[in-house]
Amino acid sequence: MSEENSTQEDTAPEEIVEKENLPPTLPKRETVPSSPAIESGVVPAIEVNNLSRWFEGVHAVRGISFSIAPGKVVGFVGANGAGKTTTMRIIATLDYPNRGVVKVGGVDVVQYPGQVRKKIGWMPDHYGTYKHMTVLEYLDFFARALGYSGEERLERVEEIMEFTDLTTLSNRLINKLSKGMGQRLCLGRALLHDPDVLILDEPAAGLDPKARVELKHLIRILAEEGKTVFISSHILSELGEMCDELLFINQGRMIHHGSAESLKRGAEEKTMVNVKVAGDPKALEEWAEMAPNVKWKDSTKAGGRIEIDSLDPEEIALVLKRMIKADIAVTEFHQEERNLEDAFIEILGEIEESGGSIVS
Amino acid sequence: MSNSPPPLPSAAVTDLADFPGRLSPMLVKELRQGLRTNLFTIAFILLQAFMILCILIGAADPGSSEATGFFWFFVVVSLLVIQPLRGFNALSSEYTLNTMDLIQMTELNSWRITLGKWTALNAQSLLLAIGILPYLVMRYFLGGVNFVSDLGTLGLMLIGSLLASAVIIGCSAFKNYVLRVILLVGCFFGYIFLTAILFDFGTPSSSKITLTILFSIYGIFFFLSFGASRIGPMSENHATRKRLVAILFAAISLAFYSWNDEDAFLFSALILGLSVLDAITEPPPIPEAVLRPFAGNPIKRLFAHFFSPGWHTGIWYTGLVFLLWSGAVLLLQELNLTGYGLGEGCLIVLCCGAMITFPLIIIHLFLKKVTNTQMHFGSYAFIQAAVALLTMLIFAVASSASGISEILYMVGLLPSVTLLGLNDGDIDANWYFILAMAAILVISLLIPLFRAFPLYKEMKEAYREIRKS
Repeated sequence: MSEENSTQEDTAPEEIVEKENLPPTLPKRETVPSSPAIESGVVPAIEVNNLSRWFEGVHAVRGISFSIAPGKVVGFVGANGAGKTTTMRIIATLDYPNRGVVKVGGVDVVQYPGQVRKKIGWMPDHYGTYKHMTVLEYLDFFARALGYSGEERLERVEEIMEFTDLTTLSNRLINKLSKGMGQRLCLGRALLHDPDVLILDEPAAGLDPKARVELKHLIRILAEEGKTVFISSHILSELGEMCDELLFINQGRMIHHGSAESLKRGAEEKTMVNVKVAGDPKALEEWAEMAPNVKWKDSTKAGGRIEIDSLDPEEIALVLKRMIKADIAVTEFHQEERNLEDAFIEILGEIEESGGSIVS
Repeated sequence: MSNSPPPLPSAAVTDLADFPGRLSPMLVKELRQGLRTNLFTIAFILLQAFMILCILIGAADPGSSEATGFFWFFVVVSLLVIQPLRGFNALSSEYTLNTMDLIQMTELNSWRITLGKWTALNAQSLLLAIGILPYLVMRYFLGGVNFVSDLGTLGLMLIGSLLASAVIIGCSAFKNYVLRVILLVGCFFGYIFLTAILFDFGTPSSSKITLTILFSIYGIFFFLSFGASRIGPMSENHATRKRLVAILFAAISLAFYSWNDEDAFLFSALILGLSVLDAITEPPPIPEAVLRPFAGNPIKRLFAHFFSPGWHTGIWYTGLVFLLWSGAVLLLQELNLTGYGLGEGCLIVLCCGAMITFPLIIIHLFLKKVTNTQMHFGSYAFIQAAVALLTMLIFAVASSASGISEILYMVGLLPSVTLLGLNDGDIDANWYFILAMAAILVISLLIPLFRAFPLYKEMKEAYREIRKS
C-alpha cells in the first residue's frame, strides 16, 4: 500500500493533528465503483507510450513515454510551450496522438474515449465559467450532464460544495467569484463523478498565497483518498512538497522522471553540508582538508561548506562525530538541499551539453 | 447497518428544483442563463409595449392596415430576427468561455449540446409567442381581423423561427465571425430565392406546402447536425446519420413527382446539395474510434466507404448520390414528368453537381493544408461566396453589353453562370456546355479522390488494428 493510502493508525502524531483540521473527506460515488484494476495496483493509472503530437509542422510532443502508478501524485514540469498541456489534453481525450498509445486505467484513450472520461477528472488551465449562472447551478448542470438524477444529484452537489467550502457561496454568480474560489469550483466540478485520476493543468496559476495553500490542502486530501493526481505547475517548490514524482518535459521531450528527493540530491553521490562553529573557522577548514571523503568548498561567516562523498546518512553522521572528536566546536551542522528550480536549470544545462534527453 | 433515513439536502440545494431532473441538462442550463439575459427581458418588454401601442392604434381606427402592418412587423422582428439571432454565438461561445472541453468530458455528446441550445432558444420564442396571444384576441374583439388566420400566421412564424434558429445555431459552430456572417447571408438569400421560385408570390398549392414543411424539417435536422459534427470530437460519428437522412428526404421529395410537382426536383437537389457540401468538407476523423462499428464484414466496410465521416468518404458519397439522383431525375424525365427536354435536363443535372464540387479543384490543388482542418469548410464557403459575386458581376456586365450569349460562352465554364444563363434562356443546352460541365464535375471529384489515397490507407490500417485488438 502506498503512503497516500495509509490509515490514521500508522500515521505520525503531528500528521493526525493536521488531519483533524482538514475539510471533510469526499464520499465516493457508489454507482460508479473505482476500477478494480487500479485498486489492485496492477494496471498503471496513466500509461504513455512513445507519444507524439504535431500541428502544422510544429512538434509539440516528441515520442515521450512514462507510466504513473495508481494513487501517486505526479508533477509535470516544463516551460511554456514544452508540451505539457498537449500531453494532458491527449490523456483527457480532448486531443489525439499522431503516434503512440495512451491508456488510462488500462483503457486506450483513442479507442474508448467515453470509458476513459468516466475515469478522469479534468481541470484545464483556464477554467470555464458562465456569466449568468450561480455556483449551485454550475455544479447542478455538470452533475446532470454526468448522468446524476433525483436526490442523488442534489446530494452529490451538496457534498462537492462542502468539500470545496463553497456552500456559503452557492447562490453567488460565478463571475463574482475570486480566482481562488473559481479554482475550487472548477476542482469540485472535476470531482463530481468521483474519478480515479485527476488531471490538473496549472491549477495554482494566478492564485494568491492563501488560495494556493487551500488548493494544496484539497489536493493533499484527494491524494490521501488514493486518487492519482497528475498536476502541472510552474511553481516547482510547491510541486516538490506535494508530489511523489516529478516529470520534466522540455521541447516536447521527457528529460527527467523521478522523485523530488532524487532531483534535489542530483545525479552525483555527494552531500553538501553547511557547518557553523564557535571560534575560529580556520580550524574547520584545516580539518576538512585533511579528513577522508570530505572536501572543503568555501568559507561562510562563522564556518564553511563541506562536500561529503556519500549520500548515506550514517557516513554523514560519522563525519560529524569525527569533527567533534577533533575538538571543533560545531554549533550547526546542516545538510544543504538543491532547490528544484536549480535542479531543473541544471538538467536543462546537461541536456544542452549532451544534446539528448536524460531520463532518470 | 443503520436504519436512519438519509440526510435531507440543504436549503441551498433544494433551490435546484426549478427544472425537473428528466429535462436535458443543456436545456436547463440554457434556460437558466437565457431567461436571465438582458436581451430576452428587453425584447419581451419592448414587444409588450409595441403590442399595446398597436392595439391602441387599432382601437382608434378599427381594421386599419397600418395597425395590422405594425403588429405583424414587431412579431416578425421578435420571432424571426431577434430570437434566432440570439443563437449567433450559441456554440462558439462555449469555445470562447473555455467550457466546450468541460462539457465534452461529460456524458453529453455534441448532438445533445446543439439540440439543447436550439430547444432552449425556441422555448423562449414560444414564451414570446404566448405573450402575443392576448393581443391577438384583443385585435379580434376590436374587429376587422380573422382570429383563426392570425393564429395560423403566428404558428407559421414559430415554424420559421424553428428553422431560422437551427440555421443560426448550426453556423455558430464556427469561431470565425466573418465566416458565420457569410453563411447567414448565403442562407438568407437562398431562402428568399427559394420562396420566390416556389410560391411565385402567389398562393402555394398543398403539395408545395407539404414540400416546404418537409424541407423545413430536413433543414432543422441538417443545420443542427452540421453544428454538432463541427463541434464534436473527432471520435464521434454524425456523418452516417446525416447522409442516410438526406437520401431518405430526397427520395420522399422526388416522390412528389407523382403529384406532377416540378419543384420536387428542386427540393431533392437542395437536400442532397446541402448534404454533399457538408460531406466533402468534413475533417477526417480518428479512424480507429469511428470505424470500429464498420470493421465487422466487407459489406459494412464498403458501406463505410460512403457513409463514415470525413471528406475522403464524402467524395464517394457525392458520386453515389449524384448517380442516384441524376438517374432518378432522368428516369422521371423519360416519363415526361419534369417538363424539361433531355439535353436541358442533362445540363441542369450536371450544372447542379459541378456547382457544388467546383471549389474542390481550387482547395485540393492550392489550399491542401486546410483539407484536414475545420477551415476546409471555411475555404469552401469563401470560394462559393466569391463565385456567387463573380456570377452576379458577369450577368450585370453581360446584360448591359450587346451579344450576351458570346460573353456567356466565354465565361460559361463557371457552373453557376451556365445554370443561370440556361434558366434565363441566354444559353442553349448544347454539347459544348454539357461536356464542359461533365468535365468539371469529374475533375473536381478525381482530384480530391487522388489526394485521399493516404486516408484510404489509414482506413485499411485501422481495420487491421481493430481486428487485431
